[in-house]
Amino acid sequence: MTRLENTPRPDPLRKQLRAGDPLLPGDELSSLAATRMRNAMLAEVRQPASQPGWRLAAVAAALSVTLGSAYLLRLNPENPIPIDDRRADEATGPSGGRASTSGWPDESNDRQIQFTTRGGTRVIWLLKPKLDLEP
Amino acid sequence: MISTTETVSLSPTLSSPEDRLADLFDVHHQRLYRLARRMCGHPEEAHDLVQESFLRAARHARRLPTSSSGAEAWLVRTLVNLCRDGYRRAEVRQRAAETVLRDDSETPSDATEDRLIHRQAVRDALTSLNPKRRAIVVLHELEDRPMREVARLLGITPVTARWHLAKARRQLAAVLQSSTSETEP
Repeated sequence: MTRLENTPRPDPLRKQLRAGDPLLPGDELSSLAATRMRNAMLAEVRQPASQPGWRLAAVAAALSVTLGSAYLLRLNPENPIPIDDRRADEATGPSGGRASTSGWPDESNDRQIQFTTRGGTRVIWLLKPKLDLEP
Repeated sequence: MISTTETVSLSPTLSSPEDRLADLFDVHHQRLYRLARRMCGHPEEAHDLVQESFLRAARHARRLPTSSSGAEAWLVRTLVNLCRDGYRRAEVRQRAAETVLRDDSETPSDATEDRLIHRQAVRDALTSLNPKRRAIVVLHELEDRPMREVARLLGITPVTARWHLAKARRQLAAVLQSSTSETEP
């Protein structure tokens, strides 16, 4: 225990403060104001606690849709789009071999497929029927 | 001096957060209002501070301390923090100006005028303190609460509370001294 807590002492500052106490006698929260305040508080606590859960579910749903779309796009990012389907069987490989899209007409020639990705990358597949892998 | 030493006890058998909050409100609302009134000096702002404190209690009902003293300390700290955050500061300034005008227009007698001037000086002196120090002064000097209880309510150590009280008293004495010398002819 300290002197401050126990000993009543003449304290001019305290006396001054109490003389000018901002709280006047009878200055209380009116019963009407208290009732309104109490009702507002109880209405607040009665609000469904599921609100944050609902928001969480909405965020999760949006996220899963976004991720799902991204995954599907990644699986099929660039559906091989021939530069020109009509000319596909006339395409010529770098070696001068002729390419065709209808089966394997001539097994001696290389087959070539060209296409451009959506990003603009030009891809050339060169298919060699007589490819011998070196041991 | 208005007594603030009524017995506080919350029913231990209350189960739902709603019942607990209702009981907490019934026990503490007047006490909290008195603290707010002394902290900010204006009835409307005191009302708003108390209401916001209880609304926050409602929003965090499950996190409120279960003991009565713990819940009271939570409410007091919330109120002091709201004060500190400058809750509705602009409107308060406006009201302060209006109050001073109202006080001036009442043409009181000399004794009443002296009291009003002194009350205004004390209010100004209290306002000059930061909210935490103001709360310590209000709780200890005006509400007569022991320093250990003041420290508990504000969540600080008694040593810190005493240090702030000493600083606040020096500041108050200086402000009141200067306002007295200004009003004297």
